Amino acid sequence: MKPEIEEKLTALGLLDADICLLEIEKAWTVPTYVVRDIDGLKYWYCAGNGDRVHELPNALESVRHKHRNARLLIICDRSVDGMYCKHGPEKESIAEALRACLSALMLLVHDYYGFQRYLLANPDKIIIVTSYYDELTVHEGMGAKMIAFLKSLAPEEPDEDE
Amino acid sequence: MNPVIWEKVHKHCGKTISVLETAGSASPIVARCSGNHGDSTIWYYENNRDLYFRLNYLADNTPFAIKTLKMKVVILCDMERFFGRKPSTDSNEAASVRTKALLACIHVLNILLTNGEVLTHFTDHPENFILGTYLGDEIVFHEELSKEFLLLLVDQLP
Repeated sequence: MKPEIEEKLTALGLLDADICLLEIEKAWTVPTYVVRDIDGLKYWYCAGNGDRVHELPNALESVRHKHRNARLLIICDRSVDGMYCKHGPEKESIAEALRACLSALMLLVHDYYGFQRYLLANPDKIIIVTSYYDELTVHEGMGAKMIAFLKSLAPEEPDEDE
Repeated sequence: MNPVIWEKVHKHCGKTISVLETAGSASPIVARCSGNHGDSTIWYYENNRDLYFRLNYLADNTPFAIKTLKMKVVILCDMERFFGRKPSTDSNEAASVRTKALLACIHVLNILLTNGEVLTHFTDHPENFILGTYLGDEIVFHEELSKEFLLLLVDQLP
């Protein structure tokens, strides 16, 4: 993540100690996800590499163990390599970045346990951000909307005991 | 895909359609085009590192299918293949598998929409993108899902 973006996130209070950060480094051509907590610990995942993407929920859950009320910040930089619309119109580019965030969220809620169940029960804990060089857009309410959409696919409500 | 499902898809969606089948995030994806121009089948393997490149190739070629051949795009998921066995219908297992199968369909739709022309067509005509899940001879078309998916994104756009 670019230092300018990190500074802006910090100024907005979005890089507090309770944040699990999921950064999308490449969106579509072999998607790459980075998970880190505030201590700067990094785990690298590559969805194009067989089953490793299935480890993503566990990585986030391990971060949450340290922060019971963790929030999840999903950020996608529209200028990163791999974004098809990086040189395209702004509207398409934002739409693509948001869909990449939704894809990441889908990977997380694919099975309802641990962090996923927590997120389904606490959609307000999800913050969706897109960036473009040093510009930052916080998509207010988007995390909750994405969760509502994903929940609408499920016939049964997940347990809300987390 | 078994012939019964193939026939049901054609009956529901019309004759000129482009069919994509997925079996999930780590399983084969089949792309089929069916129409007056004849049938063709292409195989995609998501375990293969090249899958995303290949799907992007598909996305880049889909506008041709949609615009020139006036096709609808049907994205299907075979629940049995997706789950590895036939899910039990006397518990909520089948319902749970259907949800995950739908996620797999949306994942494929997401990749197709990386193409600007496909995205524009989707924005104008979400009804031309049809998601379906099937188990054995039974298929469910999730008619409203494409529109809901569009609504999810549309008010975020400048």
